[in-house]
Amino acid sequence: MTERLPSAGALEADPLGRYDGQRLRRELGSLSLMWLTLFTALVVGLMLSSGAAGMVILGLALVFWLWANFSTIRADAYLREAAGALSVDDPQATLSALSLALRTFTIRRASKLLAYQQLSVVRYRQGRFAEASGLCWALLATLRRRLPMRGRIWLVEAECRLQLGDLAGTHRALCEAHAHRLHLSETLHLLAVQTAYESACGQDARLLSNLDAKVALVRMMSPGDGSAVLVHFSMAATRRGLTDTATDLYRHAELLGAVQAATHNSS
Amino acid sequence: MQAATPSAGALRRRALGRLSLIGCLLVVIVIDLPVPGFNLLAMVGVLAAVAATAVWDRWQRTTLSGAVVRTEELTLLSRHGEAWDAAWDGLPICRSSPVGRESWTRLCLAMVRCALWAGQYELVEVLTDAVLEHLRPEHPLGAYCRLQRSIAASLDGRPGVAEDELVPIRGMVQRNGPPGARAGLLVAELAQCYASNQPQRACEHAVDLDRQLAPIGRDAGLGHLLAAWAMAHTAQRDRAQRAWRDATLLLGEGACRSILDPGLDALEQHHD
Repeated sequence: MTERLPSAGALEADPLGRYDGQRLRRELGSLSLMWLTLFTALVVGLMLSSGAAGMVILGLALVFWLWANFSTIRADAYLREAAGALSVDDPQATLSALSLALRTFTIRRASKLLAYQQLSVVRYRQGRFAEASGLCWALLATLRRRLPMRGRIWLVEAECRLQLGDLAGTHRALCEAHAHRLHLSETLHLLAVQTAYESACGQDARLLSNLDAKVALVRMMSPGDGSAVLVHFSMAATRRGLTDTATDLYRHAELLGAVQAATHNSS
Repeated sequence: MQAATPSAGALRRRALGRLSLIGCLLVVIVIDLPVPGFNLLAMVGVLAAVAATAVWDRWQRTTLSGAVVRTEELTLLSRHGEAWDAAWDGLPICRSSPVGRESWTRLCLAMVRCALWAGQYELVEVLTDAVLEHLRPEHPLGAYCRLQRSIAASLDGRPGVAEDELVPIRGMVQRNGPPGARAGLLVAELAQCYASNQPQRACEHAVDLDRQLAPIGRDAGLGHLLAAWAMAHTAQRDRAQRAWRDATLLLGEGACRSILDPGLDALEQHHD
């Protein structure tokens, strides 16, 4: 999966240097404080609403509320833009949209969390695995246990742990990801990470179990990910002496392209 | 389809609705100023209205994003009938949602895919017409829609219509199109050769297919399948078998047979 890494120039121009797990915690704390202040202003304003002071407080609260809402809409638009750029693998566009999304004020906790989740994916693709893992842990510490977003974050954490060579950590993250209800795209992502993990552990029998169903899932993956998974299957089949199966799987990987990069990653 | 499009008028009406709600709030504040005793109730009423609008918005957003994800997942799983139904559930919500235009396009493109794989080629044209109407001329999705229309027309046995769709985009895609668009153009040209029964011409196009078609992943299967048909008809037995095997690896044998039903005779003769 290292074929996704951006150029050195892209890394130097990274405008997201100051955003990390600690900053996320600080920002979420400020957000809670802001909500508390707004609620207090509303209550005080309503209590004093027969006088001019109450009206002034309510008016100010209303103006702030309108400004915050417009700003949140802008931040959400930047987030959508960043998600689009991330899905087509455009590092420069992702960095600039995400930087704007993180700088723009938002009153929605979910927008803030989503921005940091996207940042963890960007860090992973930049090859900064320790930072990505740190962001994942900061996000997991703030999210409620049953939120579906946790599954996605555990997947990124599993990928980071795998790249850092921590197989025990990868196993734990994969178990946690399995415990969540995942979308189809996330299930495909899970299959890709789990295949790489099983290949790294040398669990060839597990890799080749239920192979037809796994290949049917590979057909739904993006060409790059599908190719990498098929190369792992093919190498496992070769090691177990299943030459015909290995040839078919390798040919399938070749048809999806990027076999050299996938072979390099898996070896 | 048109009825479900979030038109500029609908978006204007929505903005006006919001502005009038804010106006009401301001009027209530101003009117309430000199009337002590009543303002609390009025303020609470207006705040409740604001909260109800926010909840309604959130509900619409969640329902719509759920419908879009469900449609795209079912399309990916080739459960086209269910994907179609899920898309119809989502389309009416697009009218009033703030992210309606984007979701509407995603739903339509999923429906285009369903219609193409289910052999409903006229529906492909209707749906892509609706999408093209709302895109800027230089938008990259425009080329994608035209390629889908051309492939649909070819598989429907109308090579002339297929060529008409390719004429406006061929030069642009060949000169500076992304690899995915160039691969799509190659598949569209192979499909056109199939429709006009020109296997020799298809063989001329089918050079270095692996590299050229790789960027479109699974969809490359259609290109390999059409190449297999062309090679079988030009008596290139080994190449035809290889191309058929490549197509079945990418698409699965069932899908290959359903797409190229009439063209299979020559292929099967070679298999035997």
